[in-house]
Amino acid sequence: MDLDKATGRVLRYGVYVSIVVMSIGLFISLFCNSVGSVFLYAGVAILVLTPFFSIIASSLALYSERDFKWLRTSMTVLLITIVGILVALFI
Amino acid sequence: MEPVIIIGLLILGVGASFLGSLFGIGGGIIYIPFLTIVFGLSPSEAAAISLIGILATSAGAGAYYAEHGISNIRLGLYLEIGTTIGAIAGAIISAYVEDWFLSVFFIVFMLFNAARMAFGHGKDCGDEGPDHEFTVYDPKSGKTLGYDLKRKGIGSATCVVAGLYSSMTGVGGGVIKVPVMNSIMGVPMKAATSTSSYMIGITAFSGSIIYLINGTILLDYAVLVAIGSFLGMLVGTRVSAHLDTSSIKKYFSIVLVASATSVLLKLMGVL
Repeated sequence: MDLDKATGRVLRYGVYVSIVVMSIGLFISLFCNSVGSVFLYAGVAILVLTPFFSIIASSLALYSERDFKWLRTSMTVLLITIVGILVALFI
Repeated sequence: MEPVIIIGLLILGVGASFLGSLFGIGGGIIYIPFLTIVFGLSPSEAAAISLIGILATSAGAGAYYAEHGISNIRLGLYLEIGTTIGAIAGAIISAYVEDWFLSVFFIVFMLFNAARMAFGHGKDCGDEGPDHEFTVYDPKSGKTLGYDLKRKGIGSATCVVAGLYSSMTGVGGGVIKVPVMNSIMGVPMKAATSTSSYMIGITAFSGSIIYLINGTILLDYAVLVAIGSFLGMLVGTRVSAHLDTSSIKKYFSIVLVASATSVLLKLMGVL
């Protein structure tokens, strides 16, 4: 698939889904704070992870376009962001 | 949570994100002063929420510009190699550094930002000739500009600094990234701002993932700012194609100086 479309779609859907989950969380929080918080956290997590997933989508699109020069670039970013996640888990 | 705070956070998100989408920045330079001074959060609490807000702006704006073929994903990914390294380093450094240092760091960034906007001039890059690596269509002039990337090494190195600033202060770094792409690397302004918008999400991810996993984000603040950001981005991205931002920038720089001054006053205990 086209790099721009693939990247754009993952970003767009990621944001939409996270906003929906957050909104549900806000609504539930009016009645039950602890359950609402779970949704709020999930929504924020989805939003935060969206750019990460977009890098994966970009890599897949570049691979399908056989654009190996830039695939190396996107895989490098992917690798570094994974290091970032590991740092976050173990710091 | 009091309704005033709820509405305030939403309006903050809308405003910062709207301006952010226009200028290719994330909006952190608006979030941080308001969150620390008006909402009374500490610099690191504010940074965490700001990163969430700019991430929402960036992902949305990035999606819009990508799907319209304006942003350069390849270039964005390339520069994000350096930026992400800086962002991870910045996040680690933040854990060991005093809050006042983060505030000073932010003030410096703001003043640089203000000067950039007041005196900075977008460089006209690219031409309509053939044999360019990339092209971008400018809807205002109706021309398709072709361009190539120059000075990639300097661009990457400067982006490491942008990444550091992002994690340490909660900004997106767009004010560094846009001039780097436009003035140094030869990227047309529209492509530079839209690519910057896309990049900020990745940078903000690297900063905010640590706050997320540590659980130190004020969830309700973050969610309200994120929702406001989303709405502001919807308007900002659509308006940006039709607006000539150069005149707005000069007035915006006055706002930034005022913001930097207020953060400084808060730091000094006056506010």
